[in-house]
Amino acid sequence: MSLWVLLLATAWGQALVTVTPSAPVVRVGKSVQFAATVTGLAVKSVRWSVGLPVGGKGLPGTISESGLYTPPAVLPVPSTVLVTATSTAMNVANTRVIVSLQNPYPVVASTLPVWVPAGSSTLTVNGSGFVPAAQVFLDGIGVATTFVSATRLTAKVAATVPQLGQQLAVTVTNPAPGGTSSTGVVTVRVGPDTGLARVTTGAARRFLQQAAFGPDTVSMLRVQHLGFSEYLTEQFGTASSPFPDAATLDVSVAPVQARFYTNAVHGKDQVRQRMALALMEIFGGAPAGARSPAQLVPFLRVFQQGAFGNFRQLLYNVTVNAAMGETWDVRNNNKASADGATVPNENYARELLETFTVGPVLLNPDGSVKLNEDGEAVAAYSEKTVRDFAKVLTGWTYATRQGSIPARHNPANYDRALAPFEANHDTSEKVLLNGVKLRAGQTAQQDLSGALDIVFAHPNLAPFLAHRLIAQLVTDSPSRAYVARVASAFTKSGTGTGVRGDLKAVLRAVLLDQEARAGDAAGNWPIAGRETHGHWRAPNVMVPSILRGLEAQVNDTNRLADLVAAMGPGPSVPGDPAPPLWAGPEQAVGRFNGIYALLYDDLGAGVAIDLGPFVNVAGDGRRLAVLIDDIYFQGWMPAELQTELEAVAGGMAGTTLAEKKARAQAALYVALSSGLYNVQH
Amino acid sequence: MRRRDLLRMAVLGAPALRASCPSDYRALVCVMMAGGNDGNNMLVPIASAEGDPLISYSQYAKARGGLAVPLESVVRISAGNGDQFGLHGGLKELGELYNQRKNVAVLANVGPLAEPLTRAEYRGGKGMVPGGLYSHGGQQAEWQAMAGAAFGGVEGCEATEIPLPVWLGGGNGAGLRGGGDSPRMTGVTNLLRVDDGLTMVRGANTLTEVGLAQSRMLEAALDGVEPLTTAFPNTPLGRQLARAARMIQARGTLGVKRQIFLAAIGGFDTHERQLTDQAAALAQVSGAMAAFYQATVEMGVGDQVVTFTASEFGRTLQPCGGGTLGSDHGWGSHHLIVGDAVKGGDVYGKYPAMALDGPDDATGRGVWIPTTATAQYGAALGRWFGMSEEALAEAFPNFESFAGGAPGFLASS
Repeated sequence: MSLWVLLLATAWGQALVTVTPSAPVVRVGKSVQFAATVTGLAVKSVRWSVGLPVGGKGLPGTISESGLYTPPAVLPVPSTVLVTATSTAMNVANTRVIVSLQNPYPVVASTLPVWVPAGSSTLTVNGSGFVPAAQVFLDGIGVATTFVSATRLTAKVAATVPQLGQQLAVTVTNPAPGGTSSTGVVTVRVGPDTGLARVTTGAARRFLQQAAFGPDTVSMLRVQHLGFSEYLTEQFGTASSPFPDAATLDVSVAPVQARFYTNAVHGKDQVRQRMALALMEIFGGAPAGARSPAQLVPFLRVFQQGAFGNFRQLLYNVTVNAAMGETWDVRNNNKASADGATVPNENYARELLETFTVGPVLLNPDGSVKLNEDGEAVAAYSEKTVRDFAKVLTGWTYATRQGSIPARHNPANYDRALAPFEANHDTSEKVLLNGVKLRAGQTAQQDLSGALDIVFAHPNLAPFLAHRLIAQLVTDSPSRAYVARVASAFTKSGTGTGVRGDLKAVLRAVLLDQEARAGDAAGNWPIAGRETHGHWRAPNVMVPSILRGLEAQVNDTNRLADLVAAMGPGPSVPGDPAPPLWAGPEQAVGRFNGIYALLYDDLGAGVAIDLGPFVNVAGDGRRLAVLIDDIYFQGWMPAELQTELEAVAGGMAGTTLAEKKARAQAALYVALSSGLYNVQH
Repeated sequence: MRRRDLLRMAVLGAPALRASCPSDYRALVCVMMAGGNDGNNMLVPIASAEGDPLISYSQYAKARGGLAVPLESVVRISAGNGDQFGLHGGLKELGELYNQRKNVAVLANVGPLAEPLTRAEYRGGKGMVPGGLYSHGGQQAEWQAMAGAAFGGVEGCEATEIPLPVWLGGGNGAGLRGGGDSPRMTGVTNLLRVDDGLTMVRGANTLTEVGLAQSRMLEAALDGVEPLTTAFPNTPLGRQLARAARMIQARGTLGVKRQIFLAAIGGFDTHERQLTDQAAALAQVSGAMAAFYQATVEMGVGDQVVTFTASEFGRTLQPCGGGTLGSDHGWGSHHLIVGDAVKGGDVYGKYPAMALDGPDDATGRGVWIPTTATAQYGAALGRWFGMSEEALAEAFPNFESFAGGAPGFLASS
């Protein structure tokens, strides 16, 4: 029987299209993925369409070829739309479902002014998700509100004299359907303006390139509202974006990776996540051995929870993490065999000293290499030291499972930290850094704590870590003075809490330093004497950063990890203490293709990108270039780049919507693939 | 430093012309075994011709204990002087080539050295040692200096005739998407000339320009070229070497006289699980290198292409104990050179005495002080490649100060 006959035969049978979800409720700003099942027809594909019910007014939103529905920015009246799936075989079968739309969640990002005088005044409220009947509340009391746009409301405020000096919470409530209130804690203070830091949009965006996964509008406004320092204070108190519970997942790490990117793009705890990633990279990146959620999730949590803690605690938690232990061979590391033929494993011992904490040679407090009287570098430790650290790290195994008998090598248990098994610990005396000894006869726990104390106390640690953190977040080639200032924040001489190793104080020092902030107002690169300033954007930071600039919507079905992996680690850069060797110019192609995919491909249901704001101005090449400058270059875009973007747009037709979109895509591609963007300034 | 050299070469081009570029074609292909390949299990001693008890399987097996590979698993080979060795069983294909076609050579105990160094000097803290010993980063840089940017300097060749090394591990081989002529690509190309004074932007532009140019050239050159019939293993290294073969295929269209390729394979940092992990990694090396050799024969350049291995260091003879046995970072190790120009079927250099605290041991754990410097290894390859003596002296500093100079595993051109 030919295919055609088969198709005809089944087409005349009971053809049926089933659509799921069958009656969804969708909030503006979110998307929903529809799926259709075709039975009784050989051809299984459907064509999607969306429309308003008879008599409906407004726009119905859009649905992609793959069935991803995106609501309109403003609710139609009534607030329902009809999604239809029609069999592509022939128009004999279709099914229609009713979608109920709800108003978006309102988010308050900032107010202008920040201080309101006693008496009557007008307050501008910036944020997102505002709808025409939205209402502003001050400390829970509704005030007269005027809708300006989805991102701006104005309100009539009447503060009283007794309220002088108080902080009033500013919230916004959207009306039904789906009416909700904003949950952030934006406040205004009552009284005369005392000159709280004024931050330009460009400076706020640049700060967030360093402190976060780049800016989106809400975070930019928030930094402007609070100033850099108070923004960090707020971020220090913001709850962690969660990772999924490994027990609920299958063996694939894909959902964990997807959540990493969802968090990076949308998480409110931007600074925590960025710091966690920076620290994770300093400790060698995601362990190659972490091939399951059970291994990966606890590992990621170590950094998420330790990002704003003390480095000493992080050092311990990293060392006894089970996935780390598996990758670096801390778990099940045996003491020397009785005949001496087999000795403890040096893997973690060497990397801990060489690449995680101290470095191979002695450093000055500003990170420069300390020289002896012959002008030579001085080794920070010897091979014997490495071997003694390896002995310290014996006797640890996976935590004993409940009801099991502790063994020298327990079966894998990733949920908990490694646990000591004393009979497998080398109890001999160890001579560690700078000749400091651990006496014989100590337990595995005592030895590990003692050894990490010695590492933590080593004078190299502050400049070593300072340089590496600056390189992760700000510039690969900081001045010696910058390193010294951050290092002094690590030691208690800094402006921090007076506690050595306080990562909050260290991070403040990295981000608020004059050298980090020097580019905010400059507009012209390079700043005198700092020609080597800059930081190569790693793909795992650059991709979320591009998406945040586009105000993209990302969910847990995204496959951004694959896209990022195909972009490669990027060329090695000067000043990077561990350059990815054997990586060459050909990787440029991988990066270009990754940016191409972001701008041109359908990335599936997990990533929704609306180029609308860029398309809207793409009829005019100059306006398009200026918008790209604002979003991605903080206003310092060199004239040559601006001219080039105008030429790109000018070389393409730009009348129809499709043409304007092509212009926007081309200009963004050219700007984001350029060396000027790939090097974070 | 290597990166700077690369950039400098890209910007300034090849040195001034003095002679004309050789008319024949030659290529060097480096296979980097990243992580530190354990040479002790790759080239297992069986019996020395002179009956040296420290170069014997029993001595090896005693020192290695549970980490020793069984004698019955190795591919038996003989050195020219009658020494008996076993190549790791994972190197089945390369072992066959060694024994049958005699176009595989082994170079024993090679590694970075700053100057000739004795054990007494090392132990006494006297001699100069290379920087970053026992460190992945430090020693990879040393090897990359020898195996990557160093090659070039073939007298009379223009930059178009001897292009920059191609890092095969860097890309996935996919061409540039949307790379055809368009206002967009014009913009991209123009911007490669635009920087704002930051050195990193300049560096990024240069690297990007080289990468895009390589990609474009290859696509153009391979347009309409028949694929090779040689089948490559579908492994990371197999795919990299398959791409190298395609670029060699395009040599005529590209108008190149010399090509340099750098491939990399990971999985050699075997602090644990060495017996299984190293076997898998070496099997991948052997399968891919043997297929690549077949491809050069198919292209008629079997004696014009030399493939050689590199790795940041060897590993300690003394095992370390964890859940499963492994070994720690060492120094000197053994390497393979493949191609019809190779005077193969022989083991060059000096095999170390398999004894802890023995005459070759630097640290007491069976860490071999190299008896051949990487500079010598590189000079031998570079000389065959056609580098001038001045270029050799610059690329491989002091190579002649080491005993024996450049080893003779390649027929001199």
